[in-house]
Amino acid sequence: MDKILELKNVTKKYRGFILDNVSLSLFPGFIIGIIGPNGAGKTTTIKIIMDMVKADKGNIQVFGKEHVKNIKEIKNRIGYVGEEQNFYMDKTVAWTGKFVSRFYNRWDTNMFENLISKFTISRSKKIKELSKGMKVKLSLALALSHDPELIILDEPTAGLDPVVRRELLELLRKIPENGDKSVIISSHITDDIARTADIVNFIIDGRIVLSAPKDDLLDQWKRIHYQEGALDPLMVKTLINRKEHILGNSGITDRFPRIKDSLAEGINEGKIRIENVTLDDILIAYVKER
Amino acid sequence: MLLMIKKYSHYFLYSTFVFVLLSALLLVLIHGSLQTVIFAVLTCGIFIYFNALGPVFGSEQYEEKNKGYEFLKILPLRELDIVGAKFLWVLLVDAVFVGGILLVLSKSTWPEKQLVLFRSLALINGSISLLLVAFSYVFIFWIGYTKYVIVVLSVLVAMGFVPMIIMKFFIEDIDQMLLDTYNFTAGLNWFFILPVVFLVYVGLLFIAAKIKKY
Repeated sequence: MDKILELKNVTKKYRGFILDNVSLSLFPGFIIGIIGPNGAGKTTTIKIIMDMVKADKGNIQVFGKEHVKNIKEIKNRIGYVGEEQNFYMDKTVAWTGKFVSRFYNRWDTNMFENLISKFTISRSKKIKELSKGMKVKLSLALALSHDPELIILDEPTAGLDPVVRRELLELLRKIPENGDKSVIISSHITDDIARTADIVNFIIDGRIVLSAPKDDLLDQWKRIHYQEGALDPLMVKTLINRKEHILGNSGITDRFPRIKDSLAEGINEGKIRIENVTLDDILIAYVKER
Repeated sequence: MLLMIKKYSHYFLYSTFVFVLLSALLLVLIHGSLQTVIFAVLTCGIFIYFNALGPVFGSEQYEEKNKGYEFLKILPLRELDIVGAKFLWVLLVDAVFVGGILLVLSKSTWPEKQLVLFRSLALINGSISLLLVAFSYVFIFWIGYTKYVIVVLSVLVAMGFVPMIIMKFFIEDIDQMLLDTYNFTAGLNWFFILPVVFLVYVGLLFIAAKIKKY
């Protein structure tokens, strides 16, 4: 299967921050999530893919083509929703749609009209009259109306109310269903990624520290609650984010399938209890370990 | 690039309209010997700068206010499409201004010496305004519109003192100064200067597209 996107050792240096040798791959029909704290390098990575920021080093291929040389053709096949929605504030929704439509080869006016009615955005409203949520929806309508093969969303839910946020995530989840579209979504809200992504990349301090299919990750990472002496001391040392309490101890393991059998006896005796973790727990564990 | 040319058209067409209107008004309303001097100072000089820089300031202010470049960066466009469209408009408008002045001068019955001086003045101001706009774009794309405007306003205020300094120190030699100016301008080889100005302009276009941060 041809890769939709491939980043190899992409590096970008700023004063006080380095995006360090970031590598990513994306196949058709998948949603890739990029999680990380604020300032970790999510937006920089996405802006490099969009050629809004130039990388200092590394190789980027999108749709099998060299990135910068073919950026016009590549952007024709990408739908992008940024962290901030920048439009001409004095223009109307209809004007914005018409203006954007002229730049794309496969613009579908009917789809745009359908999407803005579905999102209940008035065509005649000026952009400055739209709420933050409406602007995100308009961005999404613009991003989807030229039949993009790759949709890139940078913190799309930031500042949205819970209802709009849930609607948006449900819509995103449906995008790659027919297998020909792929999505990259970045967020510091791990729940957004948990709800949408197939593959998760954790980015911390400009480096991808973990990249794996979400389901594998949640299978491998578990929180172990154990009584004193119930675990092998060597195993205890491998636990991340270890906490010791009077009532019991706990820690997170990233290799649960491998140690599962050795824990069986303790689990049966009630000395060990296994708890599922969230992507949030994994992110926090990583941040605290550093 | 065509779409970007269309996008910025109203700023430059408006500027051309203002230029033509003001110049025509001058020609119609002012008669006698005063006409030639005012025509030279205003049409060949000041209007060119104001009308070349006006649309640049107008469009850049609008783009900055709306973070327009951030919006445009999402679209399938190269920086060169955006910057090139602006440079093309300025070149076109400047050519219309200078060409219009040269056309008016060719139809006039003013003394030959004056015509030579005015022709040179129009070409000098056209060339300088072209380069001024090109440098302006380079700086605007490098440091941003607001910072650029602060710098330009400071320079313009400083330049306001130049005529006063000239009046104070050179008033007695004003005739000689005009003669020197005439001799200098009459000796300029425009077949050499204009292609050089054009090449520098195109070079600045590529520099502006390359360094564009805003």
